[in-house]
Amino acid sequence: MTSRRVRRLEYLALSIVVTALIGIFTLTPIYWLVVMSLQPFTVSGIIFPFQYYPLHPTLNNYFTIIGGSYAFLIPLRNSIIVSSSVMALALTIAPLSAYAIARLRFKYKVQSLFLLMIGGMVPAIVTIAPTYVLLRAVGLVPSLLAMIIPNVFYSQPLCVFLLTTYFCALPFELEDAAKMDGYTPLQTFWRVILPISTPGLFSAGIFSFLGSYGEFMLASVVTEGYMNVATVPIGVLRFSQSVGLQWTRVSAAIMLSLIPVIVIVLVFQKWVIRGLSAGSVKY
Amino acid sequence: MENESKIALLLILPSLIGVAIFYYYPVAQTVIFSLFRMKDTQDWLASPFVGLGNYVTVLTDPHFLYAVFFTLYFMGVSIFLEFWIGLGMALAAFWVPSKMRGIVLVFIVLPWAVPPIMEGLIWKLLLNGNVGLISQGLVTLGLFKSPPLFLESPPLAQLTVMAADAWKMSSIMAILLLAGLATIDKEILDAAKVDGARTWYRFWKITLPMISPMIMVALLFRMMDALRLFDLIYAMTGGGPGTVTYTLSLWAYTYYVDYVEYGYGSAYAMVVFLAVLLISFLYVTRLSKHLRFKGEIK
Amino acid sequence: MLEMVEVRTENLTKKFGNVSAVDDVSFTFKDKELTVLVGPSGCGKTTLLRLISGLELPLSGSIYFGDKLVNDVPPWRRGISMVFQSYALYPNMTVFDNLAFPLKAKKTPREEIKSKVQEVAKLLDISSFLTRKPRELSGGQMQRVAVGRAIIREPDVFLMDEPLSNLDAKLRVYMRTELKRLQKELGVTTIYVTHDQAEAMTMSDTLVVMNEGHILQSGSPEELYRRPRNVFVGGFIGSPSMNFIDCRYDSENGILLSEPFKCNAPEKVIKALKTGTSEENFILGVRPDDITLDSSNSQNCEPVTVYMTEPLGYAVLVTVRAGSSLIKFIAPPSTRLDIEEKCWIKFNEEAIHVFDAKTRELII
Repeated sequence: MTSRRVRRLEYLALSIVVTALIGIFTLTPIYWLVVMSLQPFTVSGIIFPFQYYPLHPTLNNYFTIIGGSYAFLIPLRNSIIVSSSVMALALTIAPLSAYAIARLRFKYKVQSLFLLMIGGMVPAIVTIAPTYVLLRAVGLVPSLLAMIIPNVFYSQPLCVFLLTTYFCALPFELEDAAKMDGYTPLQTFWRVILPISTPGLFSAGIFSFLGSYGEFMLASVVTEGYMNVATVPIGVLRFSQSVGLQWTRVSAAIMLSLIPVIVIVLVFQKWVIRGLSAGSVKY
Repeated sequence: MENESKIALLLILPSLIGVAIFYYYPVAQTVIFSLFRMKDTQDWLASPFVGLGNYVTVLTDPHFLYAVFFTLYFMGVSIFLEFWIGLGMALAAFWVPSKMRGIVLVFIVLPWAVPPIMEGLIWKLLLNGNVGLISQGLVTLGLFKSPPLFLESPPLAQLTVMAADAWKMSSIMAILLLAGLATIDKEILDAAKVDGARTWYRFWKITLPMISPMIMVALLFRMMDALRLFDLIYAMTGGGPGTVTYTLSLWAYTYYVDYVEYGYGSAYAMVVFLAVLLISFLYVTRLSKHLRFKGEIK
Repeated sequence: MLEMVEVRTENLTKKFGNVSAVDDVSFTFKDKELTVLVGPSGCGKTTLLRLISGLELPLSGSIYFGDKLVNDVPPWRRGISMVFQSYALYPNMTVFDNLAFPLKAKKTPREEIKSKVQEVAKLLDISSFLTRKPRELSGGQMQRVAVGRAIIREPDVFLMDEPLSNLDAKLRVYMRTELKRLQKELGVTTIYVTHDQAEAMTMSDTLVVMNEGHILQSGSPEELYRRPRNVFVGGFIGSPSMNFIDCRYDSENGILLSEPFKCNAPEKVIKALKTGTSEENFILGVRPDDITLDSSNSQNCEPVTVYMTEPLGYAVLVTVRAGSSLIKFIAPPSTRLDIEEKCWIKFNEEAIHVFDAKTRELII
């Protein structure tokens, strides 16, 4: 074998090792979740002797939590509704602002961007008390809207930022051409810019979906006691607190909750990197 | 032009109004709350005014001081870990042959999908004495006789929480750094190769400096997140054992929800906010000359 | 570092997917010469250059620097320098640091770095902006820094990938001369890639024309101009480009035909068709400067119709229709012709080329 072939084989072998290591690092927790969720239920919560993979895998845990008294599909359904709505609404509002800041000419451009982004620095803990009072005052508590509306705006700082930098990186010529064809700025936005903004929109979309899916603080305050509008973070946490040691069932619950987000992330992951690097910070 | 201004205003209005209602109004309201003593009530108008009294109490509260210590401790350890692991993963993603790159990216991106609350529960499971993979694994490997008390012994609990955070955040770091690495013009690295730079030298002198703006941004975000840390702790330890893993946000939450002390809780919350503002301000003013946004229209 | 270094490739092949970018190329780039690789986009010239640099690895074949096989030697150990089309200057470093980088990579002592950088800066007239960063420089300035960075290492081989393509026309012409002079002064084996045939003609000691991964012809610029080996080379080199006319030889009447154009068959054509091919059809190649207006119609041709005239200042470029082909030729600056006017032309019989209609290769 020539030294070149040897080196290539070494490189391949090392790459496999590195990939495996990264896989182990990132996937072990999820692996364990799957394993535990497939283990047969024990009242004490102890599995003895310890198994590294399920010797008698079963889907019972899933059936139990979906059915009857636990009704875990409800929080799951709620979360999917909330996060999808948040994503849809956020992606309706944010691109408008982003486009205005990136492309239109008006006086307080920088200030507007600043105002919109500064909100992102506000910790959740600061917002929950007044928000709860406000939502209760307008009668939105308890309801899914109480989760949807605030989250739409919680995601604005990040979404507007991402989309603004993305739009800024698009070539000017497109809009000039549209202007010469007689389109108004709004039409240009709708027909020319949006269709080519998929990476930016997708990554903003994922962020708003993930952010609202995992949002806990507001959910805890707003849905406390009203389990029919609880979202998944609350559902899972309260469930785990109430059944304590029944890890097989808790794992199943967590696993079920993770499926939507894992699917979304897997499907859209390549857009994220593209969307992030389209308008990145440079020297 | 004037027309464009009007259109622009119209376009921005939805976001702006929403952000005003759900970010700025709450801040203002919380500030107000923090100036009153509000036990068991949400009506500040009916509560006694204490001015900065709540703040004074907070800042001298030993719980507060310990939480600050813990947060700084947390920042140091967690960010250090996640930076190096994240950098390693990002570089690995570029280094492996293109067919494997897809798989590596999937691996890197998955932890990001896990909400912090679930993450806390998952780690609690992993470290559980009876059914936790890590606990039992360590025993099987012979490193320990019985599963270590990860979440029960104070010093260990703190480090455990930091490690758990580092797990997810390494992925975030890796994603941010990947975005940064992707902007490096390949031809520049080619130029470095023909200029005589070996692999390590290229990395230190070319790659690293070119992604340093992104690194700065990533570090800033992480620091702000560490200050606001809540979900993970709540799920994993609830602040325990005792109060050693309490963060500032958790204290604020406790005062709001458990003690229904809106005034005091708000003061705590505001302290968190001010800390975040302070750090960002210092960061941006000191480093702004090294940063420049591409294509920003002023 | 100035030993005898010729670059030699043997059966070099590189594929991207199923396409052979470089197909079994064997060539020797002579020591101390400026060899230009020229060809249309996608012909493989840049790939060949990158293979020689080590930035790409070949599928098969070998590369030698002098006697040394360098296939497994990484770019940073081949003793080469490269100037890129986009200059590829390090954006976060000053011009000084950009120039110093190759020396720092070699761990040259600081004093020596300083003096060398200043020397090179003076040579290329960039001393006044050593403290600036690349983004503050103009295209021409960046280009000179890129060249400076390449020569400061005193390499065995210079590689240049279309270094002038991003400059404006005037600067490009100026830099051609400067680069050629520099190369002569330094006496370093240089391989230069361009798609601009004028640049290739003026700069090269040896000119190599490539297409579709193959070397079609190599030699001095004059050689390639006077005796192109095939239609492609003939048409690629020289501007305005060579005229190609599909013709048929009528042996009975001794004329060549390109319906409805006809004219007396030159000796050369008769000789070529006897010895080179048995076919009647062939391709006639003749350069615009080898055709003239002929009011006396000495070659007994059918008149041609004027299609367009373009004044060049020092001459007039006339395009005429002859049969189904358009022919361009150079006429004196005082020529006045109207569109659709008829006239006669004459070919310089010494300078015409006969190409085989099928293989498109030169017969004579």
